[in-house]
Amino acid sequence: MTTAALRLNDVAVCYGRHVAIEDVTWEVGEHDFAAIIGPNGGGKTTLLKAILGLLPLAAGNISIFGHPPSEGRDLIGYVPQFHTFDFAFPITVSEMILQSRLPQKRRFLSGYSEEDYQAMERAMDLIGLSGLGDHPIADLSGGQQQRAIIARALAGDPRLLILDEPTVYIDAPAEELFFSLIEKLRETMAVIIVTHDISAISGQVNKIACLNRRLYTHGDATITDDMLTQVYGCPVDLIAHGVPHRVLRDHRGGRND
Amino acid sequence: MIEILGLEFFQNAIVAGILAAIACGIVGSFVVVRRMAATSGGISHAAFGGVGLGFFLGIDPLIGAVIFTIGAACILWYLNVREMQETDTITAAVWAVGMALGIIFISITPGYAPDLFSYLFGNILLVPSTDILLMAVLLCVILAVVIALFQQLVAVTFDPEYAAVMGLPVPGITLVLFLLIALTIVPLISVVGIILVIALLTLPAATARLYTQSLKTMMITAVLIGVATVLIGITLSYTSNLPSGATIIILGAAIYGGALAGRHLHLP
Repeated sequence: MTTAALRLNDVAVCYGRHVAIEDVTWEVGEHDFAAIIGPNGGGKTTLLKAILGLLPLAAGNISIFGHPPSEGRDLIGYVPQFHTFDFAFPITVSEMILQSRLPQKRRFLSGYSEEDYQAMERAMDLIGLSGLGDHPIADLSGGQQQRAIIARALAGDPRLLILDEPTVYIDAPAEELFFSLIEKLRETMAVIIVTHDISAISGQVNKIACLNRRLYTHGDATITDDMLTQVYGCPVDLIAHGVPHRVLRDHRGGRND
Repeated sequence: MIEILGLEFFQNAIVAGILAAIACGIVGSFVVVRRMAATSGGISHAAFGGVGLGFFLGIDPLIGAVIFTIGAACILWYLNVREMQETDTITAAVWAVGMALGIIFISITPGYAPDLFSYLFGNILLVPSTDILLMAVLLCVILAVVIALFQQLVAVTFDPEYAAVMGLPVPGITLVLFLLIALTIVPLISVVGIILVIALLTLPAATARLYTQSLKTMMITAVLIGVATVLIGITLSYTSNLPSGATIIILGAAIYGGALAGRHLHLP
């Protein structure tokens, strides 16, 4: 049996007496490109924090390549939401990217190793930021800043890449580049995208789950009417222009984001 | 003018000013980028309780200030990080409680506290040699901690959530940052006084930030600006017979204003 990149087993997380997510069971293989969709407030952030070992579980267990989150998170490359960043912070692109090498930097008082710098260069090459290392992040364009955040995750040599709302700031042409990059990354790692935006789901995604307190899965990469009804709470019309699927309207007259 | 350099009190003032400016350039940079000026103000005003305690026990008021700034930093950290209390509320409370304790200690101390005013507004020309030793020790501790934990401090200041994902002990490193502020404030009290501390902590760093691209260069620039501000301020206050703390602060603000205006001139 191969080790799954991520295995969620009856996971539940509570804030006080409020149950944020429950009965979440799912598995992502080591070459999967998976997506978790769901409305805001449906528990996506909670599930992410649980996977990253930042929240205690009320029930169930999580394993990352067979390890509990506190150990397994060294194998995760985490790309947080873009808008949480303080891009005015005086830090250069390379300093920011090197932050993902901090756990590997065990020796006290020693600087980053040659290996750390090589990992940083590789990540910057891969994502098209070569030569921008000495620039402050404030000087980058929005798209470059977004890629710098992804490069930071990649420099940690992850085997599982998790992106939280990755396409919020990416315009249509950049989106194509973005998904071709993900396709390239899949050769060496599993990728999970978390988003409220169903239109952001690419055709390359081979596994989809919908989260609204509980996780609804369909086994493969199709979103069914039924799943969306369960997750978004009312019927949603789906029209497939090939892929990706697009949500045209819901019957409440606007998505609750 | 040259002959005053031979006077011991003036030499002490210059050494104290340089020690304080180095500490405030380094730690002040963290305060500016992490937006902790109000927290720093709370810690520095709480130091007044320590000054009062010093008078009451008959020990060096600056030792009392160290105890109180460290205590205030620990309380603020605990309430903010562990009890999830609002930063501005607890900062205001610690600020006022420290001042209140100071007044109570002083009122129950027999006799009159003669140099209270210099603890509130600073008088660098009155710094005794024993305080200089204390300031040098504090600066060594600050430098050692910042050098040893620099990358960790930057990671936690820049993006605490990601630092936690990286497995860094974020609450612990945040406590270190609070304690660094507490230790930095003590030398600053001699220079500009409890009330004016936050300005000297933030102005050189804010000026440096206008022209620098990374935290390391920001700190070095802030130290240089701080040293220049303090030295020119001491000289001006001596030659013009003005209060030293106030002169230094107004000079620091003028340099910041000038740097801000200068940046607009450089841009096309």
